[in-house]
Amino acid sequence: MKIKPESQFNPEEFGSEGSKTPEGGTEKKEYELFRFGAGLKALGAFNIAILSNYRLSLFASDEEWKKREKETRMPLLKNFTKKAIQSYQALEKAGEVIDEGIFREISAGYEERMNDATTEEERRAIIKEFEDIKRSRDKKLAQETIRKNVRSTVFGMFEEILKK
Amino acid sequence: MSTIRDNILLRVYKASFSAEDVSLWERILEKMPDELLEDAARFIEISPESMSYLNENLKKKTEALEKGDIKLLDEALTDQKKFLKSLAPSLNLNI
Repeated sequence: MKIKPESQFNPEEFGSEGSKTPEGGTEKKEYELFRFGAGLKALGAFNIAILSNYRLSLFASDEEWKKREKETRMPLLKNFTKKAIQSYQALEKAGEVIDEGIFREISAGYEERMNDATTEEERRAIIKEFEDIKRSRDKKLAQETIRKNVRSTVFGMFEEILKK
Repeated sequence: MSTIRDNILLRVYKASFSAEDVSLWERILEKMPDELLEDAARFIEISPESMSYLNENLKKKTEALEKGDIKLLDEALTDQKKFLKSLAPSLNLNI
């Protein structure tokens, strides 16, 4: 499959309402993966906030109430925490696998263009273009690692609940 | 209150949710760490049509926790998976 330079996906184009939606091919897959990743992160953030809300309720000052809360809600809270974390990690992994697949597709497209290139100038331009894509991907992955660490830290806090 | 939280709340106020639902959003957003608020805001920005789904899912999860209803909780988590898959129909996500 050939990837035209102008078809490269740019998440910034999808950052506001009324922006364009790609119609097909690799760009559509990238867009869907971007939307899936954004949805996954948002739901992860909401799950963390819901858990925070209920975890705080377990530390109320009324001892009797706290005891009752621990007996009635703690098992459910633990269950939710465990399932939310497991589900999040599985979904995140699925997204990463697809992201790698798309990148392989893009790389193959460039390889094909390199093979078809007839002049040295053309080849240099293709290499530069691909290096730009790789740099932008590395930057995105580095930012994602920071975010992942934040999520891991928060999830780690909730995993502590499971141990109590 | 952070600007990001304000922006999400503006969307909530515009969404014609019930007063009870708005109050739930306010409570939940209050507990959301700033770094993660950005994740929530980003998704709402690119997919504003998902507000209704998020509202229903939030309600279901909190109701499940309030009532201690494990079945409802499982339902909310299954819904969540289906919703995420619907965001990427051509990817055949194996989840």
